[in-house]
Amino acid sequence: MAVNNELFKGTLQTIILNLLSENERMYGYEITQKVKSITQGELLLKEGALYPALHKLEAEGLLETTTEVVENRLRKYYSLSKDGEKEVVNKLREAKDFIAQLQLLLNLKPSF
Amino acid sequence: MKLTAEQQQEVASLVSGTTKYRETYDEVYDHVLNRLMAENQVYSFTLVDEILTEDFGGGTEILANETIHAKHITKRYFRLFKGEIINAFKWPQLPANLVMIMSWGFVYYSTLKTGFNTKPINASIGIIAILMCLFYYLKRYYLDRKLQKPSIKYSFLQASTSIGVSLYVFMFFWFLSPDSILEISRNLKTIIVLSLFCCTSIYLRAFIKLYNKKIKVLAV
Repeated sequence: MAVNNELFKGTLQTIILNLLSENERMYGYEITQKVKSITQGELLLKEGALYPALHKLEAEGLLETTTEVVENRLRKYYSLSKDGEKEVVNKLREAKDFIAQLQLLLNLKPSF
Repeated sequence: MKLTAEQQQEVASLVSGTTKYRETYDEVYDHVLNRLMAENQVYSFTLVDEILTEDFGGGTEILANETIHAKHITKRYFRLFKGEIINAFKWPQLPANLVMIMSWGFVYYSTLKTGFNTKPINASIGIIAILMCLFYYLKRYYLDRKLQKPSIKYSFLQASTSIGVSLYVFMFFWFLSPDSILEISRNLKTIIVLSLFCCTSIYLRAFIKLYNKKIKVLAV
């Protein structure tokens, strides 16, 4: 069953930052494919949401970008800036706290 | 699927028609080609259009996001620029700037009675301000002439390089010109010219630093 994408809109920045903390640098399409493969296709990250989120993080100085010519076209890579490296820790903590609260509120039990 | 050069050109034309800035064009074009290469369908113009609509919400959505992105980028560069200017008053730039300010202070006090010829300094400020402004046009219309689309950074470049000229023209006509709107004493005129020179110097160096660090490179 596919997960409702609305549910993870609020955690999109955390997902991006966390992926970039695990991978040195990634480009947009690569991020969508990574999310798809980790969640086995349950979560589909829409590009219409991904790129604005990447641009916002970049404008906030949490991401840095580099470009490289790949197969005769320019590819823009995103990586964590120093501020981004600090922020990912905060965002993950926030997400963990939020999930813990959700478990309490919705009476959920971990499935593992 | 594997795309021929002609098909890639067709994709490029379609993406070019839906994007305003070259940074967006590069990103969307790369994304669409990656998507097409991963597809098992036969290439068609409609498929490209479908990808653009499905993944990016179509031309209207892309343009709306570009506008927001451009605003964010301009704001971000002005924030970085402000940081570079503030750095002029921090170590290791502080001593050099202090020496400059103190030197002009010394020049001012030692020429209080005889008077200080402000014309060369005044002219140099004007030339620097005009050159900065010209640099934007040189960059946009000559250095980047081969680029088919404008960069998302031009808005910041235009604003930051034209501020100097605007300020100088204002100061010149109000205080510094021989026929200035407000008549001020010779000593006050000297103070204004020397202060303007210090500000221009700090502003120019901050701009060059930011340009070399963040704008010269291809990435946004």
